[in-house]
Amino acid sequence: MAEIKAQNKVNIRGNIRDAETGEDLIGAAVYTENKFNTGAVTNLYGFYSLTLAAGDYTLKIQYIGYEPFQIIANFSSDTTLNIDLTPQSSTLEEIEVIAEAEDNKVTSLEMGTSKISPKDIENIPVLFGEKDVLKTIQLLPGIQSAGEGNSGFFVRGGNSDQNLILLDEATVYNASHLLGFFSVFNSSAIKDVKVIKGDMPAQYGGRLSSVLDIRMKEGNSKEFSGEASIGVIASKLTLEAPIVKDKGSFMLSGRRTYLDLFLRASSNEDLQDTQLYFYDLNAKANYRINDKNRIFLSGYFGRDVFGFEDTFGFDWGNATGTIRWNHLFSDRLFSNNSLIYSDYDYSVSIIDGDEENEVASAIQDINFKQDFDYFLGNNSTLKFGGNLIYHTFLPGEITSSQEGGRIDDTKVEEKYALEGAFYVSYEHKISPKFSLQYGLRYSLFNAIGPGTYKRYDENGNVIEEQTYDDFESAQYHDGLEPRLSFNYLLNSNSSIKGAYSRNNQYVHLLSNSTTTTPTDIWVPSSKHVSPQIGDQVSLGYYRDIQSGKYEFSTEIYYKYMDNVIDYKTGADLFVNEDIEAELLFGEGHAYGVEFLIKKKTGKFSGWLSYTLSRSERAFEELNNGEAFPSRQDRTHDISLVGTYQFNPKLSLSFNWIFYTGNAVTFPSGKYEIEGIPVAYYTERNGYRMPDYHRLDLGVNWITKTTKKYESSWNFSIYNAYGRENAFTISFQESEDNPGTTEAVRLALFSFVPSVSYTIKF
Amino acid sequence: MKRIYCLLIVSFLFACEEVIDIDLNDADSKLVIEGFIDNSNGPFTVNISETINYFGETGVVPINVESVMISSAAGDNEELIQVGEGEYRTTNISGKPNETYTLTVMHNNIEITSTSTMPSPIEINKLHYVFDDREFNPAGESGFEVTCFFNDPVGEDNYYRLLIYQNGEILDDSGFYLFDDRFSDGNEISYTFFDRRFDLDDTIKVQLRTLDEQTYEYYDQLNDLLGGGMGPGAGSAAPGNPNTVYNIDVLGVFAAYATNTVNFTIIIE
Repeated sequence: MAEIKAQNKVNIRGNIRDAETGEDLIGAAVYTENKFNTGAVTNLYGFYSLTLAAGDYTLKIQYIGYEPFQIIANFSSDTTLNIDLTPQSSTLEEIEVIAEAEDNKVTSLEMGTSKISPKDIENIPVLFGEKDVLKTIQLLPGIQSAGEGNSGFFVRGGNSDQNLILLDEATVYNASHLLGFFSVFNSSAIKDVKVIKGDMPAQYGGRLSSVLDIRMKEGNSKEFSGEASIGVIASKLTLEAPIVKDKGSFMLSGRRTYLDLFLRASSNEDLQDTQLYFYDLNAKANYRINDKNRIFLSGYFGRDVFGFEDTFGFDWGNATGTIRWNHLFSDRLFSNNSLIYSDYDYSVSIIDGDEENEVASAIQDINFKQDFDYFLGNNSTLKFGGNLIYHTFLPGEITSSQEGGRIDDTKVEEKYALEGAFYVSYEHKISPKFSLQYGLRYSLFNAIGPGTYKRYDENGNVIEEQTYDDFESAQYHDGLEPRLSFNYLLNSNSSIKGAYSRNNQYVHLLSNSTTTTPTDIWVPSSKHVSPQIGDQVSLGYYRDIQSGKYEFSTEIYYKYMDNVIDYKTGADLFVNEDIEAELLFGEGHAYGVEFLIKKKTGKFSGWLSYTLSRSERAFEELNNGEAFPSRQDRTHDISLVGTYQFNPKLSLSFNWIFYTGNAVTFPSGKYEIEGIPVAYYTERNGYRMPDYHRLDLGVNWITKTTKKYESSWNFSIYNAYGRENAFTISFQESEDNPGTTEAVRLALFSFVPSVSYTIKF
Repeated sequence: MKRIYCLLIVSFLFACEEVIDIDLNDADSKLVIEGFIDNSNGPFTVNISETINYFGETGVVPINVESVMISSAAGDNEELIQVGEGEYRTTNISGKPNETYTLTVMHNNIEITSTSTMPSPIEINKLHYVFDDREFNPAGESGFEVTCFFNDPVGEDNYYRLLIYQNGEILDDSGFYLFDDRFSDGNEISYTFFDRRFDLDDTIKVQLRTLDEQTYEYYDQLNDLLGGGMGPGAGSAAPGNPNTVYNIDVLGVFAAYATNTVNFTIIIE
């Protein structure tokens, strides 16, 4: 009997959690010592499932930033094994090399993927000291900043609307505050960030260039804890506590800026009535009903408010909500069910005498999503599922407070659409050296009624117009999106990976500016607008050096994008019923090579990243049909990021950034209209902005640590050598010498110091 | 909207402006034709010139052409006489509302044409000024704010340009004041010169021009270029030349417009 059992397969599954807070750990590795090739990785909910032949094993558990853990045991029957890992504490005297460094990057199947934990964000000095995940990811190869101090980003030469930004699975349509200088993600509320630069597994889709998957903290399920911080621009407070110890917890986090409070204190009466602030609220709760069922509830709400009391008001923001139910159908079949809501809207009101006119626009989604993880054993996992989104687009609406006033109520009809996808993705190890992940995603987009859909000719005249009833299909778009990636281990510390993926994008962002602005409009694919289609191939080499002290990786990619959008000259995107007629459709190419070398352990840690790339667009109607460099085209992009830990309480960090100036259009001549000098343009994006570079410095100083609380100061200087980087270059008539023209550079932010004080309890 | 961003940045952030040197390619010169007809007896002038280098050169380089003609749909036809370098003038033709005019320029044996229709003039109903004591306003100074009132005709698309002169000097350094009735058809329009403040005893001239759609769009696109230096990332967004109003790709504008003008002095009642 015993012998037969020994031949049996047994299943070990459970959750891997943080020993101090009970937070689930995403992507933690569980593997057997004697047979390294057998292992599993926790999924997005911290769950793993491992199938082994019954017997004695040493199980090792590893996760970045945590003490490695091992269990020696005889596994003769199916077992639930929940493991709590202890975080590596910076207060430990010995911060030398950890026992065994993770070599995830070499062995994993993920390509073009980076994970960022709040710890990574903590030390990086940023503008006004407001730690920001979106600014941290810009320091990685292949991800570019959209501009000075900006949280907007471009991935591998793609447009900013080609990034899918998810917060607890809900799409965040506009991730920026205050004109992009801050992101909507309050770093205190975030547990895990993963960015995928185009090689998405089949469970992700809907955007061409990247997925940024952000997960909020679940809350401390062991004890009440919190964090409060005061900085130059904003204050934050985060509270976490168990609902029932080890079974459920919640997290509440709020952030608000207070520039307007200074303005209120100002002696200038006009400034006192000025409103200028933003705030964010994050809330999450989870409860483990039993071993098989767990529910999560999370939400985000944030707004920017700007106004001069009696003339002008402008506010915008996102709201998201997610309800999730994790269910274990069997030891091996994990299911997640989500109901997701997301909303972005803005409104501008202009007060003219006794008449107040308001302009509003919005996009709203309701998404139902079902995902299954089927752990087949032998290192193979099958993921499958699907989702369906009901989109509501409000392109623009003007409402007037006064009937018969100057402005009439005007509304561009709402648009509705269903967007869905079904996917299956299979990951398995073909041999000890070769693993493969392949999948297929079928995506669909159905523009539906009620409403009128049109098609236009090249001059913008309507050539087809039809009105549809509720839920009547106006236009159906769909596509098959194959995904493939492989990993070939050259030896125990190096590997080669390759990937191909296709993505279809059905919603498009129309923006007049280079970066995202609050008044950007999302439009659906329709009769006139076709989905954007992207194909990317990439190949990479990964290597661990000195048993994981250093990590080196390089990737080369080529991306082709079809049906990318630009605008006709003089396009009017404002409350325009025929906005689609203002669009141009073309194609894009982007290619490049990325290098990353990272020192992961020791007193000095950090990374150097370098990207050499090119990105082009071609439109029949622009630049005589010739391809031209896109705004995202940056030849060289370098980031050097480092932290030196003097002792457990004091660290110095820096980052230095260099990139080639963006491709821009400058005038090639001038002429006069009514005596005013006007610039004459010949080639599109034929010039470069000056090269950009900057050094930021930061000091983190933990002043006091007791069992109950820890207090720390953070000092930083943004742009420490005061480089005047061009934010804009404008060509204009000289004020001093009328009749002559000059180029004026606007530079923002040199030597911006900031300080913040944080208490964790 | 760009103005608002500009205001935000300049007011609240650490900004620094500096004139810099930039190397620009020299492009081949391009022809610029500028001609206007208003609802008067003329004479009307057509100026022809060429683009010049952006830096270093000033003024215009006039170009003489083979011939310049203006004709009307009603059958008036006139060859303009050259009165200066690149400058041509009418002698007979007068501007009438609802008339369509065609400009024909012969240059290097190429015929360049453009057509514009003069809309009916719209009368300014009244002008209104009020003292704004705030300093933190879109003009950046306290002073009298001027509003122009007129009635938009119902049931037709109307396009307007407003001009304002302070003590004889036109205020156009921040672009053109344009208005269309897309959201206000048939209403009484109040148009405020929101970024200007005036002083006591200033003499002010306000002119309301009615334009055809092509001319309005031309000025609107020109406005985008003139305001191109403002806003986050602006100036690095891809600007382009306004769509040409000519049959071939030539710069400049040919516009027939009707005007209504009011002069007044700011006094305390």
